[in-house]
Amino acid sequence: MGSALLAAALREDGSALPGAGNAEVQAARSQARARLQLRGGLAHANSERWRYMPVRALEAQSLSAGEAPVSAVEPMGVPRVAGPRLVFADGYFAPSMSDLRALPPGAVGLSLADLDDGQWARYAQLLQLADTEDELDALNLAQARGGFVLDVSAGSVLDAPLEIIHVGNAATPIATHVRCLVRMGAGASVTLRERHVGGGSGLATVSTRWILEEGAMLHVVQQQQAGASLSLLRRDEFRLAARSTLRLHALELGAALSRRDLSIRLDGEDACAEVRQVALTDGRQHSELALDLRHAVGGTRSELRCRAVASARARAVLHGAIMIEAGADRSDASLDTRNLLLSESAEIDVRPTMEIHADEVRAAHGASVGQIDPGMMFYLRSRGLSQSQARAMLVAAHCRALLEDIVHPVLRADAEAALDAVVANWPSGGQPA
Amino acid sequence: MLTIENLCVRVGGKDILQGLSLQVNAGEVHAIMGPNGAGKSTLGNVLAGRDGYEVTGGSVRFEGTDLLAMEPEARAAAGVFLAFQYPVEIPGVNNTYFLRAALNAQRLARGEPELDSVQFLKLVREKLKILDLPDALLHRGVNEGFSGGEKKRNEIFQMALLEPKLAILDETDSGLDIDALRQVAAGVNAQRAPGRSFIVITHYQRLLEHIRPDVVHVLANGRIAASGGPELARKLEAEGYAGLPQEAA
Ligand SMILES: Nc1ncnc2c1ncn2[C@@H]1O[C@H](COP(=O)(O)OP(=O)(O)OP(=O)(O)O)[C@@H](O)[C@H]1O
Ligand SMILES: [Mg+2]
Repeated sequence: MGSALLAAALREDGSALPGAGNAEVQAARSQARARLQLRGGLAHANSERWRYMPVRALEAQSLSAGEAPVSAVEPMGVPRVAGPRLVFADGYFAPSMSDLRALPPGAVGLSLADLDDGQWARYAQLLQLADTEDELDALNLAQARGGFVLDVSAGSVLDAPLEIIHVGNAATPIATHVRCLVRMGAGASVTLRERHVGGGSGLATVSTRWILEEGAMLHVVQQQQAGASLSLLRRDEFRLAARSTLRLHALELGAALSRRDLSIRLDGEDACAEVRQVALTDGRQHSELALDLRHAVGGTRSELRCRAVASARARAVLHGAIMIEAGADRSDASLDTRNLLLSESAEIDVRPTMEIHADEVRAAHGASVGQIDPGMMFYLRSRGLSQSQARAMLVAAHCRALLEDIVHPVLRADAEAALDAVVANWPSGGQPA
Repeated sequence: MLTIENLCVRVGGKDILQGLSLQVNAGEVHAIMGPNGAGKSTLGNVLAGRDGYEVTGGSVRFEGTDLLAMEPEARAAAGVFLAFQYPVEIPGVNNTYFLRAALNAQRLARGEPELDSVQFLKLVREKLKILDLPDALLHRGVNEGFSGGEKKRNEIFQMALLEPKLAILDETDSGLDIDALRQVAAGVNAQRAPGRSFIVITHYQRLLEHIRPDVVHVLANGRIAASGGPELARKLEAEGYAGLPQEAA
């Protein structure tokens, strides 16, 4: 089995990438390549974490790196909002579409391409590889061309919100790799929306480290509406210090294949992570959430709620682990997933595990896979709604429940509208293609 | 308007309706009474097009067309409305949004222009007054957390809004307090018109004092066992179903 993906990553010597002249960066990239070589690409034999993925098809793709778009592409369907924004077009930072002037004092936004040696040293977390088994992070580090650092100093408040937009534009399939670092000082507060939009095909990886110092408060809405033939692999690693709070709303709507590796470490007392993920899949879409959530100290709280919908021949997957480590007493972890299977050819796999090595823990785990309630369906149709209208309404309602607690009203309304639009336009109407 | 001939329906392997015939003319109000499990709701559900009811014989014509061949939404657009005995809760589907979508879907199917939100809200206000329903219910999910009585009133509110030609009310009076019963009856009476017919399924004579039926039927043993005027309802209330002839036409 030849992996074109691996071959391309090993060929990349980093000489034309950001940090080419920096020995630390080069060393990190070469370490990433060594990791990939050692593990033989993405899917190490018997690797649990990749078992649901169509890895062979993914690895067989022979993709060029693409080029920086010559002219400004206006991110499709993305209304301009006042406030700071960072745009990546085909994986390249696009300064002409970005606007960092609106960042408040105390917040610094930098493009990966512009980092000087001092900044590479200060933001060395960009160069750290995730744990030894993570092939995706290595693939990303070896080849990352675009990316950013957002550094929010202690006590600063950024509630505008900050927009991060990844727009696909290239006419031919390409591979893009974006690597980011968000660092929040003690007590800082950030509201941020990150979206994948536009067309594009091939492979896109995004790997982001999010570091929350004591008492920091981060609210992220991630809206994935990537092009229908793109494979998108995201890795988000959140590290939460004492009393910090993460609220993440993730809406998975687009892409042919979308995988999210979600790693959360609750490293300090009273740290709290609330995650809501909605995944809508249709046609032959594959959407996967690989979870790695660790309660490392006591008194930490995590609450995950996921709702996936699979129609036609689509597949939605949730796997991974929630771990309450030894000593993390009095922690509180809950995972609730409710999923809808709309066709006999669709598939939903929900296989998360919960490991508890501590005492006095509260742990709750609920999972269900069901169909649309025929009684509700009949009620709506008896009032004149067509079968597809009724189904769209019920599916949207099922998912919208997780968007209700997006605090920012515009972000909430946009997310709801995006959801409604996708459900209303399902080409196969939820039936097997 | 509605002609049911020899209707036979099987549910869950059991023959429930066994040769039921019923003729409802435009503008008439027919009451259907009958013991628990007789098949009254089965009749309502079959007329509205619910899955799981196997029609093994007979026919139903609504304004000359074969009602049983139509999808539920087509029946709604043609003017059939069922007020459910047990309205379902649909969390997350906003009541107002749902009603406007339903009304406009029906109007579209009939080739009528859709109502914009201003026109729709005006209509809603008008109909709300009749039923004295609190505004707040409109902003909730469909029937979500409604009390039993609120659900029933909401059914009648929907009927008032959708203005069907044939409304089938399945025990809309059950579980209503005295004031709510009056409001529901007023809602129905306000809708009475020469071109509109009602089938009112009830166990109680009380409702029929507010909504005067033209004909009262008894459904028993899978068919109409007896028919008469309003006095039949009073007789049943006094004597129960025991005295009914077993095989009456
Ligand atoms: N899905 C089903 N499977 C099996 N039996 C059913 C099903 N639905 C209804 N029945 C049976 O059909 C019969 C008629 O039910 P139906 O609900 O029509 O009665 P009803 O006259 O409306 O009674 P009530 O006055 O109690 O509302 C009952 O015996 C009921 O148990
Ligand atoms: Mg009944």
